[in-house]
Amino acid sequence: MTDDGYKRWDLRIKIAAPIITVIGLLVGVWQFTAGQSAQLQRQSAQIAENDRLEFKRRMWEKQLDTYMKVSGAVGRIATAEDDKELRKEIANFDALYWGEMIYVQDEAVEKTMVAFHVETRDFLNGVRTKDDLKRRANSLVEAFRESSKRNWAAFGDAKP
Amino acid sequence: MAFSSFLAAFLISLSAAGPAVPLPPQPQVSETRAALAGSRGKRWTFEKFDKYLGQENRCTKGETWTFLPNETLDVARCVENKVVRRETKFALRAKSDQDVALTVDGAEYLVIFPARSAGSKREELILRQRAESTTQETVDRVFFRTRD
Repeated sequence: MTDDGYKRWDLRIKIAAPIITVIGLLVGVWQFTAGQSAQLQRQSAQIAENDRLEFKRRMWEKQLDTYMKVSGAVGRIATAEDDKELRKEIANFDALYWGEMIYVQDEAVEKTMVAFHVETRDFLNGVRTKDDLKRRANSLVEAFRESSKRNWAAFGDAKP
Repeated sequence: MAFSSFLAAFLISLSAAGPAVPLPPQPQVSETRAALAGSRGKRWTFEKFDKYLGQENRCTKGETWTFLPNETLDVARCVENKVVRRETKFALRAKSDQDVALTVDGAEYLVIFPARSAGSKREELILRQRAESTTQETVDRVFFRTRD
C-alpha cells in the first residue's frame, strides 16, 4: 500500500470508529429503554390482575359472609318457638332480603330467596305449615352452597 | 394456602351435610290432580256468579274453573252480562320437590292448597304466579269450593 492509501484508510477509520461507537451506544440505550418499558408494562398488567383477583376474592368473601348471615336467620325462622320470636326473625331476614342480599346474590339464589320470602308470608297467613317452611329453608341454604361452589370454581382453583 | 385448605374443607363439609330430621314427603302430581279434579270433576269459584233473578245466563260478575279428571278445564266467566263458557286443557308437572305447576293456555301457576282449610268444609285453592326477582310481584288467584 502506498503512503497515500495508508493515509486515506487511516482517515476513514478515524471517522468511522466514533460513528460506530455512537451507534453502538444508541442501540444499547434503545434496547435498555425498550426492555424497561416492556418490564413496566408487564408489572402494570400483573398489578391490575392482582387487583382484579383481590376484588373478586373480597366480593366472594362478602357474598359468603352474607349467605352465612341469611342462613342463620333462616334457621332461626324455621325453629322459632313462638309467634313473637318468629316475627322478629322474619323482620331480620327481610332486612337482609331488601339489603345486602340484593348486592351479592346471583339469579339462582334470588329466585330461592323470593320463594322463601313468600313462604314466610304464607306461613303467617296459615297457607303453609312449619314443615313447608323448613323445606324451603333447606332449599335456600342449598342454593347458597351451590352459588358459593360456582364462584369458588370461577377463581380457577380446583373444585372441592 | 392455609385459607384455601380451610375453605375447601368447609365447602366439603357443607356438601356432606343435610337436614337432621327427615320431613314428611311433599304431595306429588297425582295427588294434586286428585285434589283439583277428584274422580268426577270439581268446580272452583274464583268469583261467585251473581245472576239476575229469572234470567238464564245473565250475570254481572263471576268466574268458575271446573277441572275434570281427563285434564280438561271448563272456564265459565261473566262477559258483558252473559255467562260465557270455554273449554281448554290443563297440565300438571313437578316444578321442584316442593312445587307442582299447573299450565293453562300457556300460563304457569303454582298449585297451593292452603293448610288453613284442611279439614274445613270450605276448600281453598291458590293458583300462584310467583315472582322470580325481588322487584317483581307475586300474584295469587284464590278459588274456593264447598267440600263434598
